[in-house]
Parts: sequence; structure tokens; C-alpha cells
Amino acid sequence: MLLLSRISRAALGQTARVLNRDYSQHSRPFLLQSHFRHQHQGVSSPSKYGVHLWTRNEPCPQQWTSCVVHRCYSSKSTDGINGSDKMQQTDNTASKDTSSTSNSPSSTSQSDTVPMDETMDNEDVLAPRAPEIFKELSELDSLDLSPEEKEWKRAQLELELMFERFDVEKVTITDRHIEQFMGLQTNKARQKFVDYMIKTEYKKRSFAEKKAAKQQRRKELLEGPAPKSTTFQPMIWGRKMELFYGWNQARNMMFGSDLVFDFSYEDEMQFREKINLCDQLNEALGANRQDTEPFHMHLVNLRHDGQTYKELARSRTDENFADKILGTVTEKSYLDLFPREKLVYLTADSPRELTKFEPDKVYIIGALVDRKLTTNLSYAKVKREGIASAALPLDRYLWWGLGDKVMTLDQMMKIMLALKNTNDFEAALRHVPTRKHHGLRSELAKKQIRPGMGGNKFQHQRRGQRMRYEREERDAFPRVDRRKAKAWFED
Amino acid sequence: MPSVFARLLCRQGYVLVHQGQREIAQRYEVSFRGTVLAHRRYSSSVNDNLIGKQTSRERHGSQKRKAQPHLAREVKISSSNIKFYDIDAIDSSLTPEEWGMMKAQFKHPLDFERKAMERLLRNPSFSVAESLMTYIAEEGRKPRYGVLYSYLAICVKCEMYGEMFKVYAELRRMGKMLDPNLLATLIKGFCGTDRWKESLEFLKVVKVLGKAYSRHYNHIIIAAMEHGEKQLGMSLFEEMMSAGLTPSDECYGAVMRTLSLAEDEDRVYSIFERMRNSVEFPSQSLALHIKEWFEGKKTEKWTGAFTSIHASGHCRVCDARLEGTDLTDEEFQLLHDSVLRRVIHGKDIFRSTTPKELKKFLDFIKDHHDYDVVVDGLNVAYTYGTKQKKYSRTLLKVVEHLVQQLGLRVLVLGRKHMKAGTSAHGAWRRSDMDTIESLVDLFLTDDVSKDDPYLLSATLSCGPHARFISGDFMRDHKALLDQFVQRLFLKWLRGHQMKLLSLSYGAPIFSDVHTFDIVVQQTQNTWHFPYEDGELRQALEGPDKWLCVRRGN
Repeated sequence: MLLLSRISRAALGQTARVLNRDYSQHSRPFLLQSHFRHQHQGVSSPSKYGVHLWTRNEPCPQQWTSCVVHRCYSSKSTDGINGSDKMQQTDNTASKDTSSTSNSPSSTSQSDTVPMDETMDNEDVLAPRAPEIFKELSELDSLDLSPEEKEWKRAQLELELMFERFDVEKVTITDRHIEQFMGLQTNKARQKFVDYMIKTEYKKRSFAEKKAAKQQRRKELLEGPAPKSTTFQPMIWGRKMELFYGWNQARNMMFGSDLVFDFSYEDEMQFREKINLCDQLNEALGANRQDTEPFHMHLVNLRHDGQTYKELARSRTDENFADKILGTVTEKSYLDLFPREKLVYLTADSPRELTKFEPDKVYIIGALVDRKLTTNLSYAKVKREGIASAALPLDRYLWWGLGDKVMTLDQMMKIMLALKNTNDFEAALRHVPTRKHHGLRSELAKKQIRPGMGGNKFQHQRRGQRMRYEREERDAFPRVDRRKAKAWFED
Repeated sequence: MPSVFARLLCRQGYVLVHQGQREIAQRYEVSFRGTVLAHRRYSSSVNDNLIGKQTSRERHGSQKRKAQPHLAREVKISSSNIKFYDIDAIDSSLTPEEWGMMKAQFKHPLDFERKAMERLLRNPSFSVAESLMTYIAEEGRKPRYGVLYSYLAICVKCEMYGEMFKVYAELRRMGKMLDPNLLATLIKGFCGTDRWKESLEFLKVVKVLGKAYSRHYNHIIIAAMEHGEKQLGMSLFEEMMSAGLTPSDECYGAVMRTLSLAEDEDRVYSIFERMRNSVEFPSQSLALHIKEWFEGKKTEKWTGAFTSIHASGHCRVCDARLEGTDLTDEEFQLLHDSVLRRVIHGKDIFRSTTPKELKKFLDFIKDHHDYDVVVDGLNVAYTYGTKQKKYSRTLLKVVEHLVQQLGLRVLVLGRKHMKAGTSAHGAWRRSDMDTIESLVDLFLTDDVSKDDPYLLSATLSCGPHARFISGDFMRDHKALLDQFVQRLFLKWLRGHQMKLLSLSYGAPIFSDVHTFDIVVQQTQNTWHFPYEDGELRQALEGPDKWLCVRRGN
């Protein structure tokens, strides 16, 4: 199934579509018009990205009926695997097919509702692509495509159509977006996703703006007079640091203790959760790398054709990250790598508590982000495989407030590193987020505070809730300026 | 006096006063909209004033009076700034300058018009919306899609159809006609006019774009029925039904009004049948439509009445006995199998239990399946007894009552820690547990297993007469079942679940089971419809209001 969809995507082309429109006629000015135009022109020459856009100022290479259409579609290979030229051809043939089969009954019946000609006549109004997309959508069933291809194409068109409803100047749609969009079933979820895309587009824009300003400043500094005095400062190159960390890590891979991240929960997670998981993992790996005595990391059960692997490659901007990580990345299970009696699965559902860190044990942490509260997932695995398990002794050391007793990967990594270095739970559990608990029991006992003594355990949360409630009450209705109202009252 | 308050606090009066006190006559005009808002403001500001007055009197009595004229003047000057949230209270059209003022104070001026229009849509006032459009036009700009969309919705809500057609033409010109939400609004608007047939085209577009929903159909069907196009309306209605959509009350009402002839009766009965099968409850207004439909029959005489049902399952009006909660043998078997397959096994049996434990349970229940009552030990124990933490005591009292007073055969389900005697404060006493074990059978699962699935399975194994005692709503287990089996499960729960309500002087009191099923149902001469009256209900409870329709007087 996975392979099939991949092939179909290749046939349809791994394309990034860049929708661009000129809104100079409209009320909302294009915030960074000059800058962007400049950038696009720079890119439109044979470049590494292969994206090119035409704007009004540039001579268009094709014959336009009017100068209204500002959005151009260009082929672009997102990951360099699939040929972009092939896509161009298939797209052309597809469009030929659609034009030849345009006399199907459905399209003729709806053609009068779609105001194609009117828009083309009017120069003031930008020409949307909506009628075209609509035509393609209505003819999708008559095309000779496999179900997967049709689904893909349909998602693509629908996503583009979603943007037609908004006044968005420019947005880039990649295959990754379409893949995510396909997973969303409800209208609301799709709407949210489109909002998210627009948001990221604006973020990108402001980032580019800042970057340009920075470059400008650097240029000015370089061109300006040299600073009057210079001081000698030993330079530590980033490469040297890398080397140092690398050696440290290599040494500990040989002689240090092991930590396993178990990636076998891929089917339980949504796309969004997988992205979050990758962020957590990167942070955890970074924390490990910078420690004085890092763990030997094992990323096990990580399927090479899975979405997590792909996302990980994306987030690390490196397809061969598995070879470059100082650690073990494997599709095998931990049962194949270690003797069974050495394994300890760390899971919050376990009835046993971790009492101390033993360096010769192999601790396993489930790589799972669950936003929908699926319980007992990792503990079911423990039961099935019959290995030892343990939970962190959170209640023994912390006065727990509100919140799950589930930690993120980076929190777990920091806890385990601290535990390995000190074997002191009080030091290690400082990495548990403070919003979840009221503090260490021992410290609270020093202040003569113990659970259940005076006050309300949840008063902080309650106070927050009350304040939120009051704010909502206030905002639900227009605010009255008390001073003014009083003055009027007295008048 | 109230009119003075309204003048002071209503935004309308506020604005007019600011305009240099030109229109003094209009100053006292307060529309309904204004009054409501002013009233709310009045009540809040009166409180503020009271507090303010008290404090000021205590602290500095006369100083405040001196400061007053100054304050008032300041208000008159600064009242020129109309805030964004004042849109809610504005009743008459604003001048472009006022809109400009408002925009200047808005945090995101680029989004101002869209946001203002969306805010207006909450509490629509056409004249205000129109003045905003005039403002945009005077600025020399074209309204963008977001603004037009909300403006169109306001036009439709206020039934300004002439303006609606203008906006529609503009949207067509922009080529933005492919939004299902927009099309739903347009369908609603067009169905209010003579051009209602054009909305069929919109519906076609919606179908190409994706799925058509109830809001796309409702108004077309109503319009078709009103214009006497029964064929068209019925075909759309059946299309909607086959797509699994739920029509609105007005739509149901329109359809039933049309189907008043004798030969159409079966169609209406099929609607009722569908309600029955999908366990839908009509709303109050729909119940009224149903009553009217029955009473408007020309061939027979029917009488309707709103009523409630006696606990014994008899209607208070016609004294007919409603359907019981008993399942047929096949349904019972299906439910039993699904609980075992879906709830205990599920996707992964290790998530709720282990195969070893399941085998042990199945062996146990094969030998012992003649219990009258199965008790959810932990649930019952935790219902009472938190104060002294004598959980075992509560359970013992309940079990003693069931066995010694009522003479029932009882099975208690729990977890192993109940007997381990390891809990703090002696919450589970060993002696109590020994007494319980001598009285009844005890089946304990592992501490990490779920015991509720076993409770359900054990009760089902004991046959249709067995009941269980638990306060659990079993929502999570219900969600694991198929759609059809869920209905059976609910029905079975209503008839077999008892809750521990209280322990008064050591004698437990249980809630009784339902004796009748809460669905649309028919006997030879009567129909009974449970209907929603908008009250909030617990998960398992059905509505307690009924419509009883009976033949004859």
C-alpha cells in the first residue's frame, strides 16, 4: 500500500505548487513586495531550488490572454527523488485528457454556474484559479487513474480550493502538505490545517525579512570603518566542538551504558504527533550529546519506510541521518540486541517503581506522543514480551499536582542522564515540569508543608481557572469603562 | 428614570450625545436591541457605582463632587473614540469618520473590516453593515472576500434580498463561488425569494466540491414544499435520508405538512421508523409538528398529548404499556459475543488483560453462571467509605444485604489488591474480605487489568435475568462496540444496571432498573415519541418527556 501510493505520487509528480497573486489592486498591500520580487527574480534563474515565479514586471514566457493571471505553476522536485520533468509531461497529458473529455454531462450542467468568462473580461479583479480547479474536480471521475492517484489528485485540488476561499497572496503547497491534508477527514480539521499553513507562510515571510535586515546590517558594518581597538580572544571553532563531543560520545558508546528508544508505536500516532515526536527526539539527542558521559543511544524498531523516519530525515535536514548519528538506528527489536534479563521498560503504567539506576541494565523508553489518551500501550508490550518494567517514583519524591505522569522524550533523557551521573532521584526529578507538581516532598517538609495540610492542594490551578472564567465572562460582552459610566451617572 | 439610564449607558444615546447634542429628540429612542444591551450594562454599572459610591463616601466625601465636572468634560471629549466592541451595541448606521476612528484604534487595522463584519454577524444589524460597506467604498477600495462573505450572511439573516443579489453578482464576478459555506448561505437566501430554483445549481456545485450536508438541503426542501413542487422536494428529502443526514425540524415539518394525504401515510411512518432505528429523539418543535400531522388526518381521528411515563412503563394518558428492555435471543447473543470480542480482546488483549487471565475467567464462568447479581466490588466500595477509608466495610454491608436480606446469589468482581491487605490505613481489612468470601463468590483480576469488561461479560453469561451493581457509565466500553450493537448495549444497560444510591443506617439503597425502552414506538392504536426539551441529560438517560398519540378520543 505504501509502495503503491509512492509510485502513484511519482506518476503524478512530486511537485511543489507555488500560488502567487498580485494584490496591488486590493486593500491589503503586499507587505514585502519589493523584497520578495527581488528574491524571486534571483531564484528564477537556474537555481538550486528550481522554483520560479513570474510577476507583473517580468516578461512572461507564455502567451497570456490577458495580464490577469499571476499565478504560475512550476515543477519542482521536493526531495530530489522523483523526476520533475516526468511530472510536467503527465500534467500536460492530464490537462489534454481533461480538455478532450470536457463534454461530459456533469461539466456542461455546471458550466453556467461558474463564471469563467466574466472574470477573464475584468481586469481589475484578479483571476482566480477556482473555476479551473472546479472543472478538474468535476472531471476527476472520468479520468483514467487508479483509486490512489485519484485520491491524491482530489486532495491536491481540494487543498488548492481551500486557498481560493482566502485572500492569501502566496503559499507553497508541497507533497507533504497534501499528504497531511489527506489524513484529515472533517471540515474543521481541514480548515485548521489551512490556517496553520497560512500562519507558517507569514512566519517564513517575517523570517526572511529579519534575515535580510541582518544581512544589510552586516554589510554596513563591513563597509564602515574598522573598530578602534581589537582584543585577542581565542576562537573555538564549531568543528572543534563537534569533534570533542563526537569523541566523547564514541568513547561512551564503547564503554558507557545503553538507552533504548522504542519506535514501535508508529501506527498509533497521527502525522502531527509524529512531527512532535521528531522534535522531542532531536532535543533528547542534543541533550545526550552535550553531557559529559552520554548514553549509547539505540533507536530500535524504526522502520525505514515509515513516516517517522521520513520526518526525522526532514527535521535533521539529512536523509542519511541514520549513518551519521553517533548511536544505533535499527529496524530490529531490542529483544534481538540485548539479553532479555537486562531489559527494563520504563512506563508510567507499570506497578513497580524504579528504586535506583543500574548501569548494566538497558532502560527502554517508548517513543510515543499520544494526544488522544491511549492508555496501557507500552505496558501491553511489556506484558506480551514478559520483560521487566518500572515507573519513575514520582509520587515518592514529588508532591504531584495536576497532569499526566507521562514525560516527553527530552525530559526522560535529562532525567536519565542526571540519574546516571548522580543516582539521586531528587536531582533527577528536577527535570519534571514544575507545572505538574508542587515541589519535592523533602523540601516542602523542611518548610513544614505536607500534603493535605491547610489550604487547598489545587488552589493555584483553581485560581487560574477562576481567573480564566472571569475573563471570559468579561470578554463575552463589551467592556464598560467604569469611570466614564460613573461620570455619566453622576451627570 | 430608566430612560435616563438607557440614555446614559446605551451606546446609541452615547453616540448621539457626542454628536454635539444635535438630535435631542432621538436621544430617548431606545430600540429593543439597545435596551437589552443597555439593561445589561446598566445592571453591571449600577453595581460598580454602588461600590464606588460606598468607598468614595467613606474615604473622601465631597472631593469627588468637585472632580465631577472635570470628569464629565473629559468623557465628552474622549467619547469620540468608539471602540471595536461597541459594534455589538451600535444600532444605527455610522458615518465613515466614525468607522475610520474605530479602525485607527483597532489592533490589526488590515483585518479591521473583516473582523468588524464578522462581529456584526453575531448580532446582525443591516444598517450598520451597510454603513461599513459605504465606508469601504468611500475609502476607494474594494471589499475583499472575507468582508463580502459576512455581509452576505448578514443580508440573508436580515432578509435584505435585493442587497443579497448585488453581493452575489459581485462574488460571481470575483469567481469566488466555490465555498460550501458560502453556498449554504446563498441557498438559504435564494430560497427566501422567487429565484429559489437557482439554489438547485448551487447544490450541484456543492456535491462536486465534496459532501453536501443537511444545511444545503433543508431550505431547498422547505422552499420546494411551499411552492407546491412535491416531487422535487420528496426526491431531495429521500436523497438526504439515504446519505444519512438529519434534516432540520422545519424541514421535517414542511415535509409532513405536504404528506397529509392518505396515500402518503407510509412515507411518514417510514420517517418514524428511521427515528426508531437510529434512536433519534425529535425536538420539542418537531414533536409539535408530529402531533399536528396526526391530528390533521382526514380519514381517522387521532388525539395527541404531551405526557410522561410511569415508572412501571405505562403511559399516563392512554395507559398503554411501553416496550420492555428485553433483548431477543439473537440480539443477546450478539451483544455477549461483541463484549467478549471487542471489549476484552479488542485490538490487543494485553491492553486490558492477559490471555492467561481470560482463560481463567472463562473456566470460572463456565462452572458458575447462575448468579442473580454481579457486584463491581471496587466501584461499590469507592462509592461510600472514602471518609474513613473503610472500603471493605461498604462492600461487606452491600454483600450482606444482598445475600442475607434478599437471598440472592452474588458474584463480586475486583482486583487482587483487595485481598492483599497491603493498602494504607487498613482500607481493605483482611477480616472483612474473609467474611465476604464466605458469603459470595469472588473473582479477582490482576491489579493492572481492567475489571469492568469482566463484569459485563460475567453478567451477560448469567443470562438475561442477571443484573449488575455499578455506578460506571461504561462509556469507554460502549465506544468500542459497533454502531448497531451500541444501541443494544444501551438498552441492556438500562434494563440491568443498578447503582448504589446510599447507605442509610447500614442498609444499602439501589436505583431500580428501567422497565421500558426509550425509543419511538408504536402499538396497535398508539404512537409514543420521547422528545428533547433542551434539558441536559446524563449519558445513559433518555428524555423523560413524551408525546402520546392515540387513535380515537
